[in-house]
Amino acid sequence: MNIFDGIISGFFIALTPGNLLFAFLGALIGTAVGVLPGLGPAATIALLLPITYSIPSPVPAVIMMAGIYYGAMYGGSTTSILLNLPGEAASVVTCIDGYKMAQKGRAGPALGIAAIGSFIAGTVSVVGLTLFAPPIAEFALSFGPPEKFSLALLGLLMAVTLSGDSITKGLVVMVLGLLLSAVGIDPISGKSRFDFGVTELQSGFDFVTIAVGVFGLGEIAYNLEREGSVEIITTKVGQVFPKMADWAKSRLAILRGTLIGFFIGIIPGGGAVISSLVSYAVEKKISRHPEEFGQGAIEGVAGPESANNAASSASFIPLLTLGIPGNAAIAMIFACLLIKGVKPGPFLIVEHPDVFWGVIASMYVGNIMLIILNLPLVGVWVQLLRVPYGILAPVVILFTAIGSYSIANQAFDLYALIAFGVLGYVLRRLKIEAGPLPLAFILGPMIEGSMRQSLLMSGGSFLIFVSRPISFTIVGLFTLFVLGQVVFAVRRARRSPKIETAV
Amino acid sequence: MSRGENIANLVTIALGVFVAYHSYHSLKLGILISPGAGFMPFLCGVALMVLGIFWRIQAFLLKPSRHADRFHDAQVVEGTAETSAGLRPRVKLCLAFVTTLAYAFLFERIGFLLSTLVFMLGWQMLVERERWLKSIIITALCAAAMYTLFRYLLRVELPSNPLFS
Repeated sequence: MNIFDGIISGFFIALTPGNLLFAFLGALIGTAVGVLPGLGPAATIALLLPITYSIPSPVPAVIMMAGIYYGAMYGGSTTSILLNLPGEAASVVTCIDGYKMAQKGRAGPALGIAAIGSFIAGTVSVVGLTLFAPPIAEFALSFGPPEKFSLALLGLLMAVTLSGDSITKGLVVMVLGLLLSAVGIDPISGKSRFDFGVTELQSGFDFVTIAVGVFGLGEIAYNLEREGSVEIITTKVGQVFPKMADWAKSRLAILRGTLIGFFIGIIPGGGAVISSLVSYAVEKKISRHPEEFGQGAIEGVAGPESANNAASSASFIPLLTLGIPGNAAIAMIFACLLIKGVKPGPFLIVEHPDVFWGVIASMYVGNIMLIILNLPLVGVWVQLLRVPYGILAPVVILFTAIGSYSIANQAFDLYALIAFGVLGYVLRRLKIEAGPLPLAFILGPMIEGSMRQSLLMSGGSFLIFVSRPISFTIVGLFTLFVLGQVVFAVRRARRSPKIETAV
Repeated sequence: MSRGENIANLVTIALGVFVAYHSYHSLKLGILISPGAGFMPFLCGVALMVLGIFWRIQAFLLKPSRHADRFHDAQVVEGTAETSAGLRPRVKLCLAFVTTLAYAFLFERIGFLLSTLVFMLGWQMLVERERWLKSIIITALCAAAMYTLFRYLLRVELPSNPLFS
């Protein structure tokens, strides 16, 4: 099936009434969680994972989850602009100029350009996904265990180095994720690991319990402590469609944001947060009026908002073609596919073309739905912030509890859930990024399995990971990436004393 | 290094030592051509130890000179002052934890519906300090909505009360 036939068949799947409904639900829930601060897309997808058990086919389940992910990027801008409160991490940078615009009475155009930029970037990025994903998947078909090992481990390491402030702490969380994935019966030797005599631990931890615990319960606990410090102000939104002058200023920023977001989104760990920061920096650097940035420059909203949407669509490329999730939210979608019996990776396009093309086509549809949901209904979304946390928090806890329990119908999972909730809370308190934990947990079995197979193939030599051309290239690229980061860090360290003396 | 980070760091190192020892001693490493069940966990244990020690050294070396750390510490202090005003948030968090733990304990013992009613009522009365009437109304509405959603719409198998079934 070529790309054209594929996408046409995808539209036939995505446009069935049932799938349209799931895409709509995903877009709706995604926008809502994007608006609500403290409940990110990863946590929401984790919360809804158990529900996918009752959806008969994998296509609508993944369509809904994908909708939540990119929908959250749209919704996140709303609270950033109106309340200076980023609904999710990728919208932090939108606060800078978006909120200033709102203070100057230009909330409408800011929201409008954010939604339009998001729509353009999201759509262009899906076109890129449509064109690039099939050849990458075809290339990845030739991967053996050593290539799989190099790719999974190095993708994971890359995600860790890019996702948080401290690489060391990120690596600790990553190793913890790998260890958690090792709990239970070893598939090769049949020996039970780290069960300490507890029968329930022999089957290992379930991804849903870990994900909803760390992201759902952990976030609730963290927000409970901080509740009350957030004051909700109502800002007049006014006309949301930007004027011609605004459009003229923003169109190139949207284009640049789209390209930046797309290429950063493909890299594991790149994702929406980094792309929005890079886009803001680029816009400020090339602007003829950099002094306007921070004072309500519309380019400062258009660029980053486009970039984070482009990145969220592009991050589906490594997932659908290589089976490598690049960030926590994508790891949840990976888990959703596994729950539905679909293994993401190069064989996906051949074995499950309905999932591959159906999901891609649904993204075009989802983007149209999102712009309709966001532009005229912005006032409704703001009202959502009035839901009292005293009701929202226990309801979310009920969702996490029922979700975890329903997997194996055992009360043990509820205690495990609470333990992971405590872990998630501690990580948030210590400002340690929790993202590497689900990524490592989900890639752990693949990393261990392919490492053991590779060692068997090579007669116990680790040189196999650098003696095969593709594996060597992956390791080489990663080494270049690490060297680049070291050079960058050294330069920054040299520059920082000068800045301090200047301050 | 703050007190919390200090504890987290020590736990990391201790966990690394335990995992490496357990993997080596009980799970067995095997040979390189055919690694045993303890091979990868052993590597993880060693990695945790090394990372934990590196984390400690890094914190020790970077702290006095980094402007960013001073800023970070100031933020933490500010945050604590804001959240611990009147000790309420910490107490609230503890009450929420106990209520959730009680829910896990009661879930299979008294069934989904009853345990959810107890949990919601407990949350509204203890954590949120709402009045009786408001608590009862919120509890009844939420429990009914959750029951309908999971039992009838999503058809999730939920534990029922042993006395009624």
